[in-house]
Amino acid sequence: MLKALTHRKLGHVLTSRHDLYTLEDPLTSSVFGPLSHTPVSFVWSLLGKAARPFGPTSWPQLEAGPVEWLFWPSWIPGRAGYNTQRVEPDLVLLTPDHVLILEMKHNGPQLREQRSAQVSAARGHYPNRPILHVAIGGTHHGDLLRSPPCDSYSLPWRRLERGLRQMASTEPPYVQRAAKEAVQALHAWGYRGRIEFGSLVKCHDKSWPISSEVLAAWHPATARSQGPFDALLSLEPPTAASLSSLSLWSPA
Amino acid sequence: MTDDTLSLALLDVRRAYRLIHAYQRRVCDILAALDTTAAHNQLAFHGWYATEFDEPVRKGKRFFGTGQWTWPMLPMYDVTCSWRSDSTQRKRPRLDVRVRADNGFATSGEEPVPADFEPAQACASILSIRMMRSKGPGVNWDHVDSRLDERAPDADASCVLDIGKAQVWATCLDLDLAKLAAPDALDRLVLRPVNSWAQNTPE
Repeated sequence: MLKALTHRKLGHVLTSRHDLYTLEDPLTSSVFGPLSHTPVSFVWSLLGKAARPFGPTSWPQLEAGPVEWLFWPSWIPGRAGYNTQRVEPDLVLLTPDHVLILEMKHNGPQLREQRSAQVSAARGHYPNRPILHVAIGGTHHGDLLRSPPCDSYSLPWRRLERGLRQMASTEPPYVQRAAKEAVQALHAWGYRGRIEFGSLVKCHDKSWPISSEVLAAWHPATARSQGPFDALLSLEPPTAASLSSLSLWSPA
Repeated sequence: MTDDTLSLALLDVRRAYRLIHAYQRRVCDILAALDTTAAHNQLAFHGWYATEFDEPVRKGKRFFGTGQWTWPMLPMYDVTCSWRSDSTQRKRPRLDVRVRADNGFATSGEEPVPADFEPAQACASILSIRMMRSKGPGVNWDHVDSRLDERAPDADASCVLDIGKAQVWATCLDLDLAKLAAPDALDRLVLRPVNSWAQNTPE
């Protein structure tokens, strides 16, 4: 699915292939799906280096032990819930020592109320574990500065893309492949590094002869060989005199 | 003309398209950076148009039909993007950005032929940014564009225009794209001035 997606092979089943790239859940799945097959130490370190804390906190060490990846878990709201039915963070990593909540946005705003609801619900489900919250992508990260309910971090998609490219280069090949897929997905959604305008000079061959005058003299459509029908069309129209003599001609 | 000569010309065409892709990729990056700056300042992307001719012909139509120009299929030769605000503040902001790969384009009624343009060496590739605020009803933005186009090259970057019953405060920034060679040039010469203008909220 991901390969078909990033190579734009799903156009015929979608109204517009661009519509897909407006959705944040396929983005979440396409980026963190491949990363869920890498060692959790790689992902933990990646997030620790790329995410910026709201306030004076530092990214914790990952303790040894099993880690569970939960995509879109459906939690009962806690007391701070502004959702009444359920709370559904995009991705949760359950480590032996932490509950790491990742809330992804594509174009929409990160919401302080949503973070409070997610943290409150997580406390209800995992009462004895410290909670970390990372707001990935979207806008209005400044709103999350106020009164975070737990250790809270901000991570723009482009910084994640840069971190992935930098960190994966020293990893084993299978991690590099997964990271490459995640980077490709980020690019498909428009999150890639800016190419400096000045690098255009590298694309230009200075010895290149300009041959536009040759093309200007090339008229393949008018110079093409005429078939019988073209020849007929190009004939002069018959004169009135020739038409009248033809109408008088009765060979029978 | 021999087949060999034509083959060399077509080699240039292949190289030209590859170079144009590299150019357009970078222009898209400039516009994306401006889009981010605009979004941080509550300006939403409003739309784009090919400045000097029609936009590309739609999928079901003949782009090669009689009377059709070839130019609409080259929209980024000269493109304009616009950002606007839903703000209710008294001076509503608007940002227009035009990227001209070649300011030698000239129309004369017929389909413009590049052989008739000024020599490419005598022309420039220009990024034109118009940072505007308006107060009053029914601003005719085509009229604003015409008035700003008519300004003398050495005129002040900022001016105030009376357009019907409205007033428009405009700051123009015209930059040769060749000035963007340094890695920090886009931030320094383009994004920071736009950000400063956007954050300088008038009374």
